[in-house]
Amino acid sequence: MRKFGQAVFGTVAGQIIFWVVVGVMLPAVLEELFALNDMLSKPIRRLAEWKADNTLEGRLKFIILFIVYASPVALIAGFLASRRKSGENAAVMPPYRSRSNYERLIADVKETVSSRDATSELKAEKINLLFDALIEDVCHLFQVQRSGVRAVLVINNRGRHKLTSWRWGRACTPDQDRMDYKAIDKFLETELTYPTWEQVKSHFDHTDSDTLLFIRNSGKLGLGCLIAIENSIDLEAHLQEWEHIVRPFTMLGHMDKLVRFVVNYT
Amino acid sequence: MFVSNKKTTKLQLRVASQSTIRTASGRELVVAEIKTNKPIPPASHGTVRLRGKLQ
Repeated sequence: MRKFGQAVFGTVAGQIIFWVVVGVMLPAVLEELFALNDMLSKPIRRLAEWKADNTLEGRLKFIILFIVYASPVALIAGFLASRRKSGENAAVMPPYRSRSNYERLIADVKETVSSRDATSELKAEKINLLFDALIEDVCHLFQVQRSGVRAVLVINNRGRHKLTSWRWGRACTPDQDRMDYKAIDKFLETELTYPTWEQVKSHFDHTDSDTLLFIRNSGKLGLGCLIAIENSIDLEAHLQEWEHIVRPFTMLGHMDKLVRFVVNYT
Repeated sequence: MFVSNKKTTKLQLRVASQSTIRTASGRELVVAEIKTNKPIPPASHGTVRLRGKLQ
């Protein structure tokens, strides 16, 4: 059977013969289809002629007639609904892509940091630009206000048991500060590059953030960043877009000169 | 016989000192020195979604 199929569809001659046969036979078959009219009409004629004398038969006849009439309506309605749904899905927003060129921003930071002429303020400003872009993406992607986001950067270059941290964004109490670091503990223990934590308020009763996102480089920690968002967000819907945004960031910790600069600057 | 009492300690970050610096654009950044009770484990690329109360 397989060889026959290959002979018909696998060769040009076979395909020509197949389409000629179909082209000749199909109109003939369609023309002769009216011969089936009698046979197709029989069940409906029987149903129409059925004298439903008692209540049970009457109800049964109604149910059969209802199925006969409702089936095409249900099929058409289902088809239209599926068309509409697929149309809506197609009209959904395209995946969010960052407007920031992180590769360029990272390269810019790298160049400035390695330049002997650049001032400390300029270097700090370049780092700010890079992380500003990240916060902006978080706000756009998850539809949150900038005032509801805080970022905590941790850098590992002071020794085995020492880190440097930079925090900016939403105001923060000492208690909240401790909670942020406890969250970073948890994230670091996951040993993954971009873990997330939702419904945080049920863990830390007095925290000001309900969603926490964390990014770090793979391998030995060079640099990590906690993003604390005030409210809950629809993470499920944007997880792939988030992964796309953070991917260049996960490489940031490998930039030794940036890490060295941040440590020297502080 | 010989039962190890060694406990798996959890990683803890502690703020040793803190200061505020101002960038050229006027933004204030809080800089802190952090100490950890043990080395930070390395990570592999991937994510996990934590929810609510953790152990």
